[in-house]
Amino acid sequence: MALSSAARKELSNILGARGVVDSPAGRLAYESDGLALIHETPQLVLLPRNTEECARAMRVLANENVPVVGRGAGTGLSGGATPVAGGAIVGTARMRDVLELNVENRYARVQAGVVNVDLTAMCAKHGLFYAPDPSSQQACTIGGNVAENSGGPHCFKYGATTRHVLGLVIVRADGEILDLSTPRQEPDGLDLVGLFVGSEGTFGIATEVTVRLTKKPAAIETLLAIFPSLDGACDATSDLIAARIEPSAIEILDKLTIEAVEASVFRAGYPKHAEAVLLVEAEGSETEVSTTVRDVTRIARAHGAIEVRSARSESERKKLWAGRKGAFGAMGRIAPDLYVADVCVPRTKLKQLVAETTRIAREKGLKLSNVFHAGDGNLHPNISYDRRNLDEVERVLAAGREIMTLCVAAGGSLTGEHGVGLEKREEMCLVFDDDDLAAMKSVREAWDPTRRLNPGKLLPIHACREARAALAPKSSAAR
Amino acid sequence: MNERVVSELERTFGRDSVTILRARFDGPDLPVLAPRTSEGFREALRLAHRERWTIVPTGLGSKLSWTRAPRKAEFMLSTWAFAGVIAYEPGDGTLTARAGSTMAELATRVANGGHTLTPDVQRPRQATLGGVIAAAHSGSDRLRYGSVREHVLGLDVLLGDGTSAKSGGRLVKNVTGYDLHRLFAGSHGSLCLILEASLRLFPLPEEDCLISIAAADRAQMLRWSRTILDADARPISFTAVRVDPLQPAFEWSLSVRLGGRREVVAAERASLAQRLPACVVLEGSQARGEVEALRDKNFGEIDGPLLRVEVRPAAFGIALELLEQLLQAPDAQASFRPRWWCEPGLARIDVALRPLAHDPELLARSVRTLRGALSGLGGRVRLFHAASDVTVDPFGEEPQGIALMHAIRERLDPARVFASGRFLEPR
Repeated sequence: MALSSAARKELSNILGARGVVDSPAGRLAYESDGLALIHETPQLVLLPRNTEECARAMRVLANENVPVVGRGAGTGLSGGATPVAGGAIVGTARMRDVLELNVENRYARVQAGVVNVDLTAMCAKHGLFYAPDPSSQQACTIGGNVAENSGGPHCFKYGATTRHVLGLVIVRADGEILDLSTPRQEPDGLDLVGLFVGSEGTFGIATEVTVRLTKKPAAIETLLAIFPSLDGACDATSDLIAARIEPSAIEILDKLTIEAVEASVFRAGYPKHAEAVLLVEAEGSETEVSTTVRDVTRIARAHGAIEVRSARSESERKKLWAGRKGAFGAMGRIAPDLYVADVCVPRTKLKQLVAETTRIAREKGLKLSNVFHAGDGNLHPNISYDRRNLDEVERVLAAGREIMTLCVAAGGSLTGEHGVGLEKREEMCLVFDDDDLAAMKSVREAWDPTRRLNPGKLLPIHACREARAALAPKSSAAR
Repeated sequence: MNERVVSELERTFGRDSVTILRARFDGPDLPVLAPRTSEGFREALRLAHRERWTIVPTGLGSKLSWTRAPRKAEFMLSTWAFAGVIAYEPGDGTLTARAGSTMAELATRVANGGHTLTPDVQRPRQATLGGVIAAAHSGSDRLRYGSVREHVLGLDVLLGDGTSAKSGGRLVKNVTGYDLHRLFAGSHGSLCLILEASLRLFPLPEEDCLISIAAADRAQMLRWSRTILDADARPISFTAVRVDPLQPAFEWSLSVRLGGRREVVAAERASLAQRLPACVVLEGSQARGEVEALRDKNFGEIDGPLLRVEVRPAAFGIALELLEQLLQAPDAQASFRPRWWCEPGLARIDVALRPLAHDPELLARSVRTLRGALSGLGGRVRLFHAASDVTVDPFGEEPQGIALMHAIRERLDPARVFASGRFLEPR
């Protein structure tokens, strides 16, 4: 629905000139998130500075019956922040204040637009850190992390965002402010905070987040195990899990990823002759770290690791991680576009599923690389492509669907950390039946009876019967 | 008891599936239906929905007195006969089991594969998996592993009309769909009946160790608590029990449970022993036995109401002092014989109030006073096992978002098949 001129004026009064983006060029910057294949230009972009402004703006949008899509930094990879035709974007880019840092009780209360890495930097001098560390942490916001229940390499030990959110302030669809910000060990009443995390912008806009801060470990050691085969690295991971070894992160990078990283500004010193590397971090007391390092080394060697080496300095450790986190960016050297799949599988089936994804890519003539959170069974088969090549785009999307179907059939799931968004919406029927989805829909409607918040995302818009029939190849979404 | 309900249940499900149990809350005895199949549960809920009956979901009934008595209930629907492991994947560290399985049987099963089950709840033979999740019951091992709701990977539940709703799955990482299992964990049977649950498991400690030390008074207990929590150790649990006041030598007994890799436990033990003079150390099966005995004494041996106070870590000492003052007042001393159990690492204080006299108004007033005094410290005061004439809400003041909570309930259970009045509803 087109906004009335009176509503536009009211929004300008509430948010000021910098808080309203309505020029065609300005709006174009918001037409997609990290899933650039799907795009739509919003009617208007609103950038409130705080909860009050957000609530007032949301009331105006409610009166005008305008759909709303929340947005952090737009780094999401599933289309969760893709605008809706005729809708408004409510972004948190100007909500970047740290409202409270409570060192004694180890929590922080921040505005939703605070960048993930800045939060950790802010509390580092107190010996604390914020544990969830998505690869995009240099840019992604805490609010976006809440919406997607984001993960990252160290979630293997510390758990995803949901384990670290103690409270929220939420602006609902009608502009009501729901203040759940007081940190509690257990929720008062139903766990609305836990339910909200990962709701992908369909329940409300989180404007303030109370997060748990974690004490920095006494010792950290980062290992790089070099393998002559990707299978060896996968088997070593499965064995580490089965042996109940507890490092803080277990990551795998394959040959193509290593080559891309080493040719980029993220060069980390990964050996180019390796078919795969296993990047493992051990944290804790000195004894904990030394026993973990010993066990990881033994298991890696048993699975054919040519070499297992430790980072010799803090700067080398940081470089190894910068390479891992910069891997998606480095893929730009292979092709102009990158499709990042995000599926989860039981950790006993890593090798099998990685081999299957390789087969799928090969059969479709696509360039596949693997860099993933092996310890959590969270695969990221990455397909490099050129969106101007419509035939290639078709093959990429088909491969993505095939990979999801395969993983679900193996006891896995559609997404481990990127969310369902638009990309995997119809595939939800592979995991859930109509009754399951009806219950989810009921809960969504309790939060947002008007269904204006991020409409068309996360839940299939058709009954599963129809959706399954439609899971045939889709038409190109490329420009 | 409604005879028509009993005869209808017996006619539909057979006499063997229905027993009559003395209600654990004030009110008439209720029939308990315990189906053995998921279809049996569906049929029971459909029947209740059709007849406009209300039901109380339960496991073995050990937590029924954690909430208030229902306003009205025709029968209890129990999962006790619906037990067993569906999938235990040692290579993946996950477990899926039916809701009526006891925590004890599940813990034994996964221990054989080298895993430990959290939460380590009191009296695990009387606690079912479904009941523990529905009540969001975390044990003392929360200090290391976190709360139970953090480790529920997925749930299969039935809604009030008998339809099923699944969320999450069996994977340690998964963000597919809404986390309805977070909503259902701690919903105390007000939204659904839990049929199956999947949990994340943790490594079974290679070595167990229990370090105990006596503290002369509260001040010393707090100092040693700080020492223990600041040490280079990651205890599984840490409890401080106030000793019977008739023993004059010391007031508090502190117990730190260590567990994990052999070398790690040895190093942690050495680090703590160095800081804590005259501590007593138990190892292996002796340590495990003592941990279980300590655990089961807490909630297990209660013959009156229990107060649970949770505050922010920095306010633990203040909260303890406030609570002591409150219970040292003459009227409180005449009415209760308190038994104290603290978890300093969680900033949690449990006080079992063995009644010397029945004074529901004093109890209600004490809870209100405490809530008022602690509200500024992020405090939360819960009351367990309270009689129905205690007028205070056991869960606390009306929470933020109550209207939304009611809206969620209205959407999921519009016919109010799950009994009202127990949770989130003023009297």
